[in-house]
Amino acid sequence: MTNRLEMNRRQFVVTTAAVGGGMAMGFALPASAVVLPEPWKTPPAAAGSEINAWIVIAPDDTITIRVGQTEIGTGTITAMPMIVCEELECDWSKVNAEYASGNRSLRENNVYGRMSIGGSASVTQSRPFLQAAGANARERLKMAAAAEWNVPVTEITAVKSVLTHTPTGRKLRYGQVAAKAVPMRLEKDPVIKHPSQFNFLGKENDKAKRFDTPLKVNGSAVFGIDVKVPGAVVAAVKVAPVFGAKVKSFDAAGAKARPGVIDVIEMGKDKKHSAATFASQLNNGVAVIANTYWQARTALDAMAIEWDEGDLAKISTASHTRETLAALDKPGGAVANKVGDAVAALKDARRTVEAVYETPFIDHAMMEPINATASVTADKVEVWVSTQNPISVIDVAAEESGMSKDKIFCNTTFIGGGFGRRGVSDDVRQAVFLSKTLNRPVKVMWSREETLRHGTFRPTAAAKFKAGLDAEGFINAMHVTYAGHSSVVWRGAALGNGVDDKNKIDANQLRGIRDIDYALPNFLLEWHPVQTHVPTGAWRGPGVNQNAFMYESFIDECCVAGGKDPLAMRRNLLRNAKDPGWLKVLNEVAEKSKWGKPMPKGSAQGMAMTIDHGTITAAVVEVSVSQGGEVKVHTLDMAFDIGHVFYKDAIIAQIEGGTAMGLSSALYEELTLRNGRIVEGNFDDYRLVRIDEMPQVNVHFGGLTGGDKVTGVGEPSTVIVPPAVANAIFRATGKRVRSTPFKNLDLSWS
Amino acid sequence: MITLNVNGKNYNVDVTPDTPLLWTLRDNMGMTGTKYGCGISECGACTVHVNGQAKRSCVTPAGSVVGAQITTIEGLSADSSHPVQKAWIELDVPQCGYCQSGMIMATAALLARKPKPTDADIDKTITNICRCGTYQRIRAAIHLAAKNTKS
Ligand code: FES
Ligand code: FES
Repeated sequence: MTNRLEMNRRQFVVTTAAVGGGMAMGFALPASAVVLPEPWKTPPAAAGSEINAWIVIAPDDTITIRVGQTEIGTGTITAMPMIVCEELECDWSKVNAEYASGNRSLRENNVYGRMSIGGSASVTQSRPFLQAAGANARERLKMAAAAEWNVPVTEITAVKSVLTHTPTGRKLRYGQVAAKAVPMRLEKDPVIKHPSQFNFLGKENDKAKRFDTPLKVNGSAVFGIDVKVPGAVVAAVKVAPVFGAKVKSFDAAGAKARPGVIDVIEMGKDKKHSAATFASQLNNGVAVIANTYWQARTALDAMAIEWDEGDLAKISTASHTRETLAALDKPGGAVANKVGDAVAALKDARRTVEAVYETPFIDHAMMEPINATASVTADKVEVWVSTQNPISVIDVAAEESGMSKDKIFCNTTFIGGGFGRRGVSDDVRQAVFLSKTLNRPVKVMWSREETLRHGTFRPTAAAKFKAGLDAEGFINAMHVTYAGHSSVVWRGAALGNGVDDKNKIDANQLRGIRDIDYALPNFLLEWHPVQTHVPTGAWRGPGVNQNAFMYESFIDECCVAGGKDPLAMRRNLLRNAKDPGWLKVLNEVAEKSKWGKPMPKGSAQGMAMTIDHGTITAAVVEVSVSQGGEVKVHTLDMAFDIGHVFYKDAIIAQIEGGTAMGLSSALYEELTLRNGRIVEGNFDDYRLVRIDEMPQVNVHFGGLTGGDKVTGVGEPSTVIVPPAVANAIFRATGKRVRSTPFKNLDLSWS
Repeated sequence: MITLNVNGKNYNVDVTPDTPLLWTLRDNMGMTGTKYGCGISECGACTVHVNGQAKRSCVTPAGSVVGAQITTIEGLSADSSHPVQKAWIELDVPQCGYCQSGMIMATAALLARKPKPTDADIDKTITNICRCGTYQRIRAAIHLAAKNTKS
């Protein structure tokens, strides 16, 4: 057997060889424990053999599978091991999960691959290397058994953690040969299964329960806010309410005189950061340190702080909106899409339709307020945090502490929601700064108000649509002018990072308009960037979560103007669609929702479709609007194309949950600016839907196209709800909704 | 120093009487299953039982519940065997899980008072916020727990 390792291409094999020599890097638990309440800790109990960086097998057949992406509620801590299990051919009832170490990933040349989460991409991006890790281990276990019996490896099969020598029927369990598999080397990497060959994912795993649920029904799951570090003090923090403003003065002595208060520290006094790190910089503000949060919080609330706010304090929602709308009328936007000659075609069109749509800043409003705990000592930095992005934690902690990255240890806790907010590590920077300054562990806690007012918000966006209709009433020309701020770059960076610099387009922010497969012979999409002092970032379904609303509502306007049924109009628009998923998804939802069925007065169906991270989605909602204008969404039928189903229940859960979030964003969510700062502060003025407003969600699987397609489902229902509901409202009331949130609009009818 | 009875045990805690029960539980007693979401009685993440009634502990001064029987998620059952917890596991209700202690405590109090709640009862009583949007499963799990509770 030659020992032909391909060092760069298959890191997990390298790890086994180069680092551990194999034994005892991993440990396993009895199957009942599955995931530890403190998920970053290595489970104690029986030592096992580390077959590769992902997989540890104990003599009793317990298998621990390491998960690179943190569990944020989407089911990754269960779904990722399932993917490994598919290739490993192991007994699922004996699988445990633990988080992979971000520190190890850095030390070992990115062994765990992509460790941040977002963009519905956990499954999509991790699948190939998780499968490869499982296949690699399976083949080496087979080799170990072959060596044991002195037979050719081709005579061995692996099923449910049992290796069988087919000619003789002899059997060995994985746990019996795991240690011997460690030094085994493969000549070449095994070919991984195509999704159509799966026999566990999307089939046998259907009834499998999530690993984390037991910890989340008895209060034992440890979230960042729950972390207890010996000797830690608590910091309540407040940064300048006007983004970018400075501290002028504060009454430290008064605060220090209060019970339990240990210190008062100004943060970010003379800090300068590059534009690229704006969202994660140490903003200027004040921290009150005490023994308990309540002591710190009440002292901070009572403290007089004066701010130096300058001209930024003149900015309001009105001034920002004026600027945005003015940009729509500027000539010469950067061209994002161009087909045919929309401007000329519009001049010649028999009929034109025109409308302007707007969407506000909104917050992620995840239930766990922002917090982070850090301990900076002479030789290392340890961080405990609810993070979507452990690698950013390490980057920021290294930068703030001045220590090299290999000295940073990120302990990822359970996460009380993220939705795009928990990836920039501004919280971690504060904790590291304060721990370094105080020379002891510090837990930084933001109040709900601080959390809501200092997010990385979804940017505002407005769009002006002009469509030309042909003699039959179908659309043959469309001109869209778009004005907004990028959701992937922050203040100070004009257009950079993730942005098509050459053309000055933020392609990400324009998703949901520029990537729809509608056949428009003349189409022009122009972009005008609008700068703002408000920090912005990704919010579940970036770009699409506002563009699907604006675009699909406008398509509905064209249906009305052209006298076309929305289903017929979309079928026409999809006549040239290259991806068969578009029509399949549309037809599936039309059929399952009984599109076009008669509805009582004041009630209506509404239809919308879009694409997000490769997942095509179509939805039909049923809405009733009272004569007084109160909107109630009764049902949402949704079809989608993610290619294949891997873990059905988790998919349904994501679609149900995303619907609630989409509905909140449609009906209620908005952040307003007054005197340069955010007005809303808590759930009394930033309303979210509750159980009484939750529609019945019906998830339909008939839109799947299979093949090589594998995409995610974390975001699609969130982005599809606002346009579907808006279109239903029009059909119920005759009132066209051109901005969110709908609570601001008079929807009464008679 | 005040004395609180939590999950059947007496604890002497060094807080001023106006300190919210939420922070007393979390910071002074180390019971972190009860969560902070808003601090103003809007979200229900901090729901506990006081003499069997659901209470939002973020706006409940510790001093006001001296002598009362306080139950937190840690004390709802010794082994996650409460019918509500079992229904939650059965239907895999939680996503991020942060709101779920409060949801479970609110539900347990509702079922104690009303063993077979209607959808309208649920709409009126379970006013907690779940940003992950697990409401559809919560409703199903409440009905399941009601079905499985021996009356
Ligand atoms: S934290 Fe008490 S109701 Fe929200
Ligand atoms: S499960 Fe995440 S907030 Fe409810």
